[in-house]
Amino acid sequence: MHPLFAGRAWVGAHLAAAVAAGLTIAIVVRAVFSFRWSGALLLGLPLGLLGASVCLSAWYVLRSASRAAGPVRPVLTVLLAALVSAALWASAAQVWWRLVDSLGVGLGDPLRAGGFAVLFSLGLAGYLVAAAAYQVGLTIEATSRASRRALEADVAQRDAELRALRAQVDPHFLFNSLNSIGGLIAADPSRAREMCQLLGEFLRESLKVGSAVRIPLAREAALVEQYLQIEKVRFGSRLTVQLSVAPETANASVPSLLLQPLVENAVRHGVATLLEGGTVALSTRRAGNRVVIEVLNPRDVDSRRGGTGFGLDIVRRRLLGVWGDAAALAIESTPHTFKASITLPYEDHT
Amino acid sequence: MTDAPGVLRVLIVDDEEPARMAVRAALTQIGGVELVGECTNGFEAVKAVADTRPDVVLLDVQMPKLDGFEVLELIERSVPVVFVTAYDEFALRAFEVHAVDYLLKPFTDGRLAAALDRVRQRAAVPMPDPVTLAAAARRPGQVLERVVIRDGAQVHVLPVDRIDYVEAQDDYVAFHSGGRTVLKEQTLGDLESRLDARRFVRIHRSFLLNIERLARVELYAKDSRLAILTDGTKLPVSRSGHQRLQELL
Repeated sequence: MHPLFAGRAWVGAHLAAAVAAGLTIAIVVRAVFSFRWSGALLLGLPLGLLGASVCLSAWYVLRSASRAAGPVRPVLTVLLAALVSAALWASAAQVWWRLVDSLGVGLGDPLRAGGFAVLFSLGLAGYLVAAAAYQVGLTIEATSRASRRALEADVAQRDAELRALRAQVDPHFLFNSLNSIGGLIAADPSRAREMCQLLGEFLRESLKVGSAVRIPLAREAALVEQYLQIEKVRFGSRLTVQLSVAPETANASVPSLLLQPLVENAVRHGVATLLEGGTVALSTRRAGNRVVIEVLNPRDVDSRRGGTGFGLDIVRRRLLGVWGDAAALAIESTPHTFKASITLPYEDHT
Repeated sequence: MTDAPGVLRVLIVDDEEPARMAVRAALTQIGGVELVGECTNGFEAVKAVADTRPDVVLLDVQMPKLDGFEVLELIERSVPVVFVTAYDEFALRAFEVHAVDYLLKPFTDGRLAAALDRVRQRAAVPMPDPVTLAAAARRPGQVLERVVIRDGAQVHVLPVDRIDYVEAQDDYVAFHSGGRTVLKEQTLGDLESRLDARRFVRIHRSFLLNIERLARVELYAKDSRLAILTDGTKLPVSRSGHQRLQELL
């Protein structure tokens, strides 16, 4: 759409340009032909308005010319348009000149030496100035559109990444759980029943929670507890669980299932690697306007190779996606223990 | 081999009690088998295989201390093994290298019965070398983090960073670690290919050196060098070994 229709401010700008053009014409013809101010203004101002109207076309010419490849054709097109427009305008200006002259303000014959040449030059210059102004406008617009598009692409990209990263429950956990239930059914039916119930609850809750972007930390911790209860059936006395969620962190907003990869690691690469097993401890605390969440587990001194780091990477990237540098995941490992600590800004869950 | 013809003597190895129950329940349904034992970890498994000489071991892969592949390295190579795991990537690799079969948890009774049938059919065919089998079953590019060695009834687990150097001795390799030496039936080339090439360098046809133990290299004759280790041990360095050492340092 032509910038003239882009808003009231733009109409004003065009009018101002028309008046400026009129004044310029008046000043030039007065200087060249020694007119009086009244005559020069009477001649110049309406011609400025007419010229400005003609120059509106420059925008369309520029836009269509700019689609051609290379700089040569657009420049030639604009020049040609300028020559034609200037010639037409100068001819119309001569008619007006004659009309004004007939009012007796002493302008003389427009066909006298230099008359057409001066008008034509003014028209050409005016058109080129208008074209240049429009070009600047088009360039600014294109740049801002490009940067806006880049920004939108960036946002979409990050959104897609977060979607892909949203932690899923490890399918092997399901396979192992089903296998356990199958084993328990004959030998220990009540434990089999318990595991079915726990598994059902956990899956329903994780599906529900998985569709929400953020949940309160207390709910996330409850989900972790459910998960660990199921693993306790599998590992028996080898797995113990310790949960301590500080009340002042209960309503902190966290991405859903953020802790899932950490507790899965704590079981799989931690407690499961020990003959005698151990404790997975989840604790949270408030430190000023930050929340610290820690998952601690023992591990076998000889199996230092944990996993591939994929789970930790997911947690890290999710934190980055939500909080940028304001949140972090730190790892502290000793030969016998492994601790993952998340620090994130406290935001009340609403 | 078996007490009654057709009756398979089975050993179950899994660290999770419900998983052992699942195998047991399936075996009861199938019939024609005798359960000779249940083990809750790899150490027990190695001992039980030696003691009970089962016809087949149903072996979990992910276990503490010794995983299924390490158990496989340590037991008699004539004992057929069926891997039982929830992780199909392990099982598929094991199968590709001719483990008798693999079962994915949770498995059906029919699937277990089919695996046992394969064991019966294979009874006469010797199993492939367990070391090769276990080596090939590992993730490509995955380097060894620890070495398992059976010494009579004892099993040693040696983290690789505690190895000073390894010496080839006929069909065996000798692991030297803090003044102690343990032997394992393996070739030095096979071991070298599985260790981290940035940590272990073949300085000589018969010697593989943990680079962190190297104090200095001394020239004692033309083209003859000695590697002096941090504990004072001297090892010969061949010309190509010296080249490899240079590249690494």
